[in-house]
Parts: sequence; C-alpha cells; structure tokens
Amino acid sequence: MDSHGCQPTFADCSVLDAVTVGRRLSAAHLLFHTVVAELIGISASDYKCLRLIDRAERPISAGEFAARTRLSTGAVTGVIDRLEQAGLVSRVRDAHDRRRVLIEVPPDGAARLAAIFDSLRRSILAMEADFTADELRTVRTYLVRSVTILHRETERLSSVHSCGGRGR
Amino acid sequence: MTTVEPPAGADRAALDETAARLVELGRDLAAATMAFHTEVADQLGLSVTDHKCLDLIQRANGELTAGRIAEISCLSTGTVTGVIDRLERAGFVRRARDRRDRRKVFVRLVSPPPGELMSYFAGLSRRMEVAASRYEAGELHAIETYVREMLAALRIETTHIRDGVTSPGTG
Repeated sequence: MDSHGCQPTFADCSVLDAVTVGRRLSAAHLLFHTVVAELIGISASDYKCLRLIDRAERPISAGEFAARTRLSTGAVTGVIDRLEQAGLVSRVRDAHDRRRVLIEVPPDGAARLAAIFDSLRRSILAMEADFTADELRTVRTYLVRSVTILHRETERLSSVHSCGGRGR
Repeated sequence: MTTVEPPAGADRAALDETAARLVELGRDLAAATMAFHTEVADQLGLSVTDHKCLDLIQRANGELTAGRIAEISCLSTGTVTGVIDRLERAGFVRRARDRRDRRKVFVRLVSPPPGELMSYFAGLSRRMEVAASRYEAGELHAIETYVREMLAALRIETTHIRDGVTSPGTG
C-alpha cells in the first residue's frame, strides 16, 4: 500500500488523540472541582465564585465581582455571606477609599485551599520531572494556545447568547 | 519519555520554573474549560453537572447504566438519578431496559443527537485540531503523554478526596 489516498498518517492520528484527550481532561477537571466543593461543604456555584476571588490578582470589590460572574448584586451578597460564614473569604475596607469594601481570601482560608490542592500539585510536579525542558516548553505553548481558543469560543457563544440567539 | 540527564544550577532552576508555570497553566486550562462548558450548559438550560454526564453518555455509545455513570463521574447514585431525569425531560436521553436482563436500565442518547448540541463543539474541535496540527509527531506525542499523565493524577486525586469525604473518621 502506498501513502496516497485517504489513509490517515501518524500525525493525523495524534492530532485527533490530542483533541480527545483534551476533552477527557476537561471532564476530569470538572469532577475534581466537584469533589473539592463537596469536601469544603459549599455548592458548586459558590465554589466557582470562591475560585474567582482566590485567583484574582488583588482583592476585588463586590461590584467587580458581580461584573466578572455576571450575577446580580443581590445574588453576590448571598454568595459572599455564605463564603464568609465558611471562613473562606473576608470583607475588608479599602485602605485608599474607606467607603469601598473589598473581598479577599484570608490567610487561613488560603492555607485550607492550598492544602487541598497541594497533593495534586506535588504529583503533577513529580510527573513533569520525566520530561525534558524542550518537551515541557512544547507542552506549555500547546496549553497556552488551548486556553486562548477556549476563551475565544466561550466569548463567541456568550455573544450569540446575549444577542438573543435562543430568545431567552 | 526520553532519558533525562539531571541538569545543574541555573538550568535546574529554569526547568523548575517551567514545571511550576505548567501547573499554573493546568489551572488556567481548567478554569477556561469550566467557563466554556458553563456557557454551553447555560444555552442548553442544563447545569454543568447535567451537561458533563450528557457528554459521558454521548461518548459511551449507549451502553451506560445509571450505576456506571455514577461510577465514572464520582457522583452519588441519587444525584445521577436526578441528572438523568432532567436530561430525559429535556429530550436528550431516554431510559431503555435491557432485553436480556429486565432489571438493567441503559441510558441512551436520543437519536439523532440534537444538532444544537453538536454545533457548540464543532467550532472548538476544529480550532483545537488546527492548533494541534502545528506540531510534529514527536511533539504531539510529548503533549499527549503529558496530558494523559495529568489526567491520571487528577483521577487519583479525585478518588482520594471523594473517599475522604464519604468515609467517616477521616479529614
């Protein structure tokens, strides 16, 4: 058999495998975070909000929080109340503008979260030790591209949504 | 993977930094994936969990029982019953009894699969394939191995946490 025709090449197979495996990875991530939320004892949506606050580069105001989550300010107050009760976030006054209230993850809350993620973090770091620096760089560019594509596709979907694509 | 010579000094530090950045990137990927799935689920009027189970059913070609879905998804059987109820009401799946063993109930995708559902993923798959096609076979192999191992690590960790939650006297 020659290489003409429709026989998939090795590279073609790998492209498809990379996409399939990416889908499985997304499912595994979702399940991981589902059990983490269960472990902390908060709902999946409160947990998503907590991750947003935890990953923000600085403490954010309730207003910013509402904008980022697309939740109403009323719903946001409820989420922050529940997370505060669980000791996972705290409300602090902005040092520059005393009228502004910022939300942050307090040190003991951050330590609790870090402890849960630490075991996963360590096993991933151990697994990475088997790769060469070049291989890790390749993986890195691939993951960066994947994240960019996901963001763009999410935006595309949400713009269809808000233009009344489904008439909601 | 290829044999790795232990690098020293500055090389070691640079490699450690790349490795640590990759862990962060893994979290970014999870957040971006979650946002995408939330958006799709939102448009279908489903919760993220419902949507994820639908994805499982879709990939299993109709041979999944409710019990097996609970097993794969790490969700309780009670939760899975609720998920299937909602998916059935929304017209995505139906329950079908096994002809040989009437006690066994399979969850099958309603055919033809809702075009709407497929169209959400078509664009993403196409763009992901284009991105992947920029790499050589050896590079793709490294990416695939990396992702597979990350997947294994996530599954082990999920099981540990779940068992910690469900078994009394731990944590």
